[in-house]
Amino acid sequence: MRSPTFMALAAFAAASIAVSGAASAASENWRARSSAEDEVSSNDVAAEVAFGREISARILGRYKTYKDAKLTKYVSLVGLALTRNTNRPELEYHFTILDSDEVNAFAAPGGYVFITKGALLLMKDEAELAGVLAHEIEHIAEMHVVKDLKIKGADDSATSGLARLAGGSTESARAAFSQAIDKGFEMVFKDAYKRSDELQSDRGAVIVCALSGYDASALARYLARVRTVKGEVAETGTVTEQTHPSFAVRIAQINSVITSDGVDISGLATNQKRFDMAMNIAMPKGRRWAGD
Amino acid sequence: MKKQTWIFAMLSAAMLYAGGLYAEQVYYVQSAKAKVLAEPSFRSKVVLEVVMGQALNSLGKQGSWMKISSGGKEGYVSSLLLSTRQPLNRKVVIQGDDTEIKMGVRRRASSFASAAAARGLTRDDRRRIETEEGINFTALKEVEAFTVTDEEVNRFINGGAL
Repeated sequence: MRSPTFMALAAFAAASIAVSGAASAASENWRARSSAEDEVSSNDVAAEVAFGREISARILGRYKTYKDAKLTKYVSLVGLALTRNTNRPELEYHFTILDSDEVNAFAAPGGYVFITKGALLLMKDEAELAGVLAHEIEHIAEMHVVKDLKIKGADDSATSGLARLAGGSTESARAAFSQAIDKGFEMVFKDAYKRSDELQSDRGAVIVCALSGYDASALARYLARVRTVKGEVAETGTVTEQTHPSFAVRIAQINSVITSDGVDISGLATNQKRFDMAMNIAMPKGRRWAGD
Repeated sequence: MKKQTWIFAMLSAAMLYAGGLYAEQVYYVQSAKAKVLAEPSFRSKVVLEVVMGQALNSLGKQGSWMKISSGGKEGYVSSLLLSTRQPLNRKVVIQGDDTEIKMGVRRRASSFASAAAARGLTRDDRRRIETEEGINFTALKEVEAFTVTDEEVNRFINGGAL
C-alpha cells in the first residue's frame, strides 16, 4: 500500500513539477473553471488527498484541536449534511475545531475543513455555521489549491515518474514537493486564494446552503459581524486576482446570488435552538457574541 | 466519382461534423439525489428527481443552472451537483505511518543528512521531529479517526427539518 507522501511525490513526478505558482489565466467566469467539467481520475484524487494531509498536518502543527467530542460531532454533522449537495462524493470530509480565539476557518485539499473556536463563538445559529463550512467545502470541491499548483496523480505505467520514485525519489522532486506544500500551505493558512476563487466559494456556498435547506443569507450576516469585529478588508490597488475581496463586495455578491437564483430564504432553516444547545453545552456562557 | 456522389459525400461529412459540434454533452449526477426544476430558480416547481450516477443530457447552462433532459422531460439542475465524469468511488484515506515524518525530515536540503537517523523512530523521536518541523500527523490521525455514520447524518438532517 502506498503512503500518502509517496502518492504526493508521485503526483509531482508525473504532473509537471510546475510549482512556479504561476496561476492559470485569471478568469472571473467561475463556471468555466467548475470542477464539474474537469477530468479527475482516481489517482488524481489520491494525490489530492495526500497533498491535503500534508497541509492539514501543518495546520495542526500550529493549532491544537478543541477536544470536545460532542461539539466536534455537531460541527461534523452540519458539514456532512452540506457535502451531500456537492459534486465530490469521492471525498471523505473531516471537520475539526481548532482551539483558538482567532476568527478563522481553513480548507485543505482532499476534504479537510478546520474552524476555530473563535469563529464558532461569533456565530448566532446553525445556518451561519453552515455558510462558513460551505464556503470552505467549495474551496475543496472546486479544487482551488489543487488547480493552482497543478496537483495531479500519475498513471500506473512502469515508465511513469511514479515508478521511478518508488525506488527513492530524486532530490529535485523532493525540493519541488517541499515547495508545493509550502505554497499550498501559504494559500490555505494565509487565506491567499485568488480573488475569483474566493468569490466562487461564496457563490457556491449560497447554492449549497440553499440545496441543503439552510438560510442562504446567513453567510452574509456572519461576514457583516466579522467585519464589525475585525474591520473591513482593504482592497488595495486595482481589482486584480491578487486582491482579496472586501466584506462589502462579498456580502453584495451573496445577496445578488440569492436574488438571481430565486432562493426563498424565508422558507429555509436557521436551527438557532439546536445551535445554542450544542454551543452552550460546550462553551462557557457569556463568551459568545452578544451584539447585533 | 460521379458529381452527385461527391456532393452527397460532402454533405454527409458536413452533417456528421455539425452533429459532432452540437452533440449534447452528458452530465452525471454526483449527489445522492437532485431535484430537476421547471425554471432556473429555487422557487420553481420540481419536475422530477434524479439520483447519483444518472446520466442527463445537457441542453446548455443558464447561470448556475444546467438545463437538462431526461426521460422525455426537461428542466434545470444546479450545476454544482453535476459532472461530466461518472461519480468516483470514495477514496479511503491511506493511514500514514512514520514515512510521512521521515520524508518530512528529508524534505529540506539542510536536513537530508538526518534521514538515516530518522529510521526506526521511537515515539519520542516522532514527537520531537514533528515539533521541529511544525507538523502534527498524530493529531491528523485523530482527526481522521473521528467518524460520523451516514445514519447519524440522516437523523441530523431530518431532525433539523433540512
